[in-house]
Amino acid sequence: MKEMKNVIEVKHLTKSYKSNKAVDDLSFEVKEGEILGLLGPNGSGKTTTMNCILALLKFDDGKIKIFGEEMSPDAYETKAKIGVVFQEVAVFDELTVYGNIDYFCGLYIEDKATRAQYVEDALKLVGLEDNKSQYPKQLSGGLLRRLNIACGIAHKPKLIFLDEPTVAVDPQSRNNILEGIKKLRDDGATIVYTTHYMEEVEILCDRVIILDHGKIIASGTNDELKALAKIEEKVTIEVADLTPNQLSGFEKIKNVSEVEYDSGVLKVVYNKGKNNLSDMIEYLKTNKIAYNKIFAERPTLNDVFLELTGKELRD
Amino acid sequence: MFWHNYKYAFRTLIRNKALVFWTLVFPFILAILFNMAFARLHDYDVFEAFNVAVVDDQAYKDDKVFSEAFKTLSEGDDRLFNTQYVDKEKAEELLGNEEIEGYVYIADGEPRVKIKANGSNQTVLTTATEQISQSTKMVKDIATTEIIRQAGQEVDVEAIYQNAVKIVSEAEPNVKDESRVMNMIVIEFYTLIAMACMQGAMLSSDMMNRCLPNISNRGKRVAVAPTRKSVMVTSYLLAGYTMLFLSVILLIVFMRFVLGVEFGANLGLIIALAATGSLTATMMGMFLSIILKTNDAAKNVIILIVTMVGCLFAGMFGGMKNFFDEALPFVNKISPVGQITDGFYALFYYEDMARFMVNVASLLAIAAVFFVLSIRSLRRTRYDSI
Amino acid sequence: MTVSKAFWKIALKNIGTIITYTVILIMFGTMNISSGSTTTSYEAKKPSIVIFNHDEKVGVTKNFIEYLEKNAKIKDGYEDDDRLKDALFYDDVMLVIEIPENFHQDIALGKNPEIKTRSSAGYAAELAKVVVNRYLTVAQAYAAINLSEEDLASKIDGALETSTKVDVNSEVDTSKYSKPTRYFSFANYTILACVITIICLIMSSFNRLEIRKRNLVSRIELKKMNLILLRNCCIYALAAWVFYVLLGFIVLGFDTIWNLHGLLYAANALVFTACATTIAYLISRIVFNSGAINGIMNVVALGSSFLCGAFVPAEYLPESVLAIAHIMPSYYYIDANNKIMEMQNTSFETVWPILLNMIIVFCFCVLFVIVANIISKKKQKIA
Repeated sequence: MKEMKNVIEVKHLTKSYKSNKAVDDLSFEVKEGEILGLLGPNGSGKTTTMNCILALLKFDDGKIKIFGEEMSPDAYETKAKIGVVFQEVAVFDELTVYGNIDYFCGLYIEDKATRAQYVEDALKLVGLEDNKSQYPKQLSGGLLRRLNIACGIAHKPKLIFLDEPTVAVDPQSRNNILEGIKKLRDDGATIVYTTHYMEEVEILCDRVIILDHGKIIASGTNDELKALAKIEEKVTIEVADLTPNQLSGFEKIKNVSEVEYDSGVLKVVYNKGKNNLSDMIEYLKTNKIAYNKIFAERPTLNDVFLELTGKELRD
Repeated sequence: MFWHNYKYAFRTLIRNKALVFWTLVFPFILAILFNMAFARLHDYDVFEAFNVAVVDDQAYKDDKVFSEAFKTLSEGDDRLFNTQYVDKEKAEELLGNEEIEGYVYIADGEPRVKIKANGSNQTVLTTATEQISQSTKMVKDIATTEIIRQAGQEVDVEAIYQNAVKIVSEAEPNVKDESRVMNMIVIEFYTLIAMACMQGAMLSSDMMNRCLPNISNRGKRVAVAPTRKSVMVTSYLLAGYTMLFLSVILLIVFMRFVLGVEFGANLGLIIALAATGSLTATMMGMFLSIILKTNDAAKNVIILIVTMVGCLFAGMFGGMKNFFDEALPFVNKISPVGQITDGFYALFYYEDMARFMVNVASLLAIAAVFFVLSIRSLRRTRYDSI
Repeated sequence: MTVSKAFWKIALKNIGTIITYTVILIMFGTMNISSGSTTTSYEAKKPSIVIFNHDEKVGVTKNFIEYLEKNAKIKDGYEDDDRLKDALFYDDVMLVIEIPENFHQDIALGKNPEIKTRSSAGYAAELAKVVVNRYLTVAQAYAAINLSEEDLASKIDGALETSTKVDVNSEVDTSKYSKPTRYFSFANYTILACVITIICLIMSSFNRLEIRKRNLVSRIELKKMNLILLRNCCIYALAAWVFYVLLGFIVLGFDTIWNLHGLLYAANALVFTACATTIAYLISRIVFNSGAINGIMNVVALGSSFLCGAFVPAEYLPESVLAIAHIMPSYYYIDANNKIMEMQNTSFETVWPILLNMIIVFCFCVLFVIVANIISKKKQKIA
């Protein structure tokens, strides 16, 4: 495996709004060609971090380098290589879909022929070919989001920031958007993806940084992070009736770390190993415990977050 | 990049219904309304004869001088009165039903006027009656003086009287009227142009909203693009300015050639004033957009209020400009609406250019102040919060 | 009661608009414009004259100036020509006359010296010219018979003393009610502006809510919501009416208006406020875009105010404009105000025309409601 270059380097970034520290001594880097997920609940500092990196916001302390250059408001050469999709839809109601993409693309690409080609590519990527002469008001929420994305990435940037591009989007558009982002990565772009949907991060991201209160509480690949959860598998069983004796018996099963029983639902957590289910069924059979349903699940990033902060990702 | 931005900005502006309404349609509607409402207000040339009555009794018939003179005023195309000759009861009835403005009758050898309430026509009737009695009195007076002078000689009373009538009827004041033909109503239209200019602040306000990341999301998008902020801001403002200038010129053309509003003769200076006024409005819109941290609609309402207050002081809705100029002289000096209105007024009414130049200079100075006040915020490249 | 709460919240948010229009009303509706403005009544007032006397103030010249002082208001302090020009333009000074050197001798010698004048454009200027010309005519006539300067002056005085007795028929001084009429007629604009803006804004935001909730909320609840909305609109309009009538009473003085005239003004305004409410209702059925409301309101309020005589008295409007004005309720409202002003006694004959105007305005209300309902029925079918 060849050594990847760092596209973004953030060192000791600190930013506060009055007394409230929005970003607290943040350091991380983004490697070329990867999709980095910035995951955290609302208000955890994801968007602020992004705006600092883009030199929109003043920050108290820290250093930011993009493509090896220090980022500043007039680093135009660097800016030309960046595409940003902001959380809020920012398009012109008075321009058509095509006009909007052409306008924003035109801020980066001067050559008309190239631009025309790029706009067509962007339309295709987000699946708005059939809507190109419509106005934003005529688009549904999902299509509007796709237009918002197309406006941000039409100039084929090497580095793309996406800030919660799927908020309030229907499933079909969401899939389209996520597919599009993968395609951008496959075409060689580096992507920073901000979200509070852990499922998206699990599907999409090569590496994840989990933020809370402006601090990195964990980072790594999906698997690395899940290892932190100290959970390997969770099994839920519907059991109508259980004696205390029988309950304590569960704790003695191999690899079981936690047992919880409440109103007919039994939750058993394993901290390692695989195929734990067979031991469980064996135990149920030998103790003649009647059970209704069993299902097992792998840990999620929510479990990781819960483990690290003691609260749910989505409140 | 500049022209790409300019082209798109202009395209979005002419498609923005609210902005087109306030900067173009609304002043046109007001111009038409002004024209309809003020059409008759200052037309003194077209004096219309009005209805009066005369009590045609024996006393009236006896006073030959008066009845003859009054008859003259009731005849011909340039007559003052449409006179009905009736008896006293009928005259009262006509007056009660407001079919006549008043009536004349002779009592104790003197003409008297009866009216229902004071008004301009009533004044005309009274004045005319008074003039007739006065002339009658003068003829008698002059004749008597002459007869007394010639006492002891042979007196041709008839000739003296005829001479006296000749003197009185030929006496005419030697007045040289040096006033200019003018119509105060033009001020209403001038303030309207000033209003159209200032409403145009909405255009530049909208333009600024687009390129400042701390105001709009589109501004964030523009801020991360590899284009200089100065290029973005100037091309946006120029687009807004172009649109504004064109609408103002269109309005002036409409007023001049469709409504017949008079302007001064110097076309170049009229355009120059429109251009300067538009510039000041553009700068004001930029400034307001930067300092007001609210949404577009609220900004537009504020611009509307600022403009309307300016219009009030500048004389819209009833020519109160001079009243305010005497009471609060500084307001119109610093108000762009006041200066634009005054500029058109100066072009129309003053021969020398000094006053007009002061107007243009003040407008430029106001524009410069707005610009300097805006620049601090514009130069900021990173924001505390967005 | 969340609907009511939301209603008043939106109303409160737009308090700035209401305050603005109220201030405009106080400024225009009550201020007595001293300058010869376009809208004040044209009663015989003494015109303002500026005299530049290049002659000695003796003999006929003295007599002339004294005559002018009696018949006009002499203004000083216009040595600055620009200031004088402005005053002429704005009708603050109606006439400027220059008395030439040796005027008193020349006139006595029958030379008929030239008097230079400059006048403003306006009725009062014409009046001022009449005053000046009258003196000069008389002076010239008497000069023709070779009198000494003293005799000339006294003869002129004698002739000018001629006056015609004028009997004024009306018992009530209509000028007493010209101010209240002006206030209430101007209120045409204010009431339309405040009622239409607020009600339309509220209706449009609830309309959007309604469309969104149509699937969630049952038909009955929707009806109930509309009913609450309607009730609140009426309360708001009523509050606006009370406010503007009270304000009128305060700024005009209770003693001038605390009588039958005042009651009629208030009643007339009430009917008109109801009409404004129905206009707002009609507009809210046609226009859903809240951005367009301000524009439409201005066109409706300014248009009807200009064409029906709220700003420029109806008697000074061209016939054609008044013909158009007849199709607007504002015309009947303002006409009723004028009739109240002219009302001299309280008999059926004098009050009936006023009531008739109110009935016509009320008919407009019914018409607007019917049209609004037809439109909203049609719109529902399409949707």
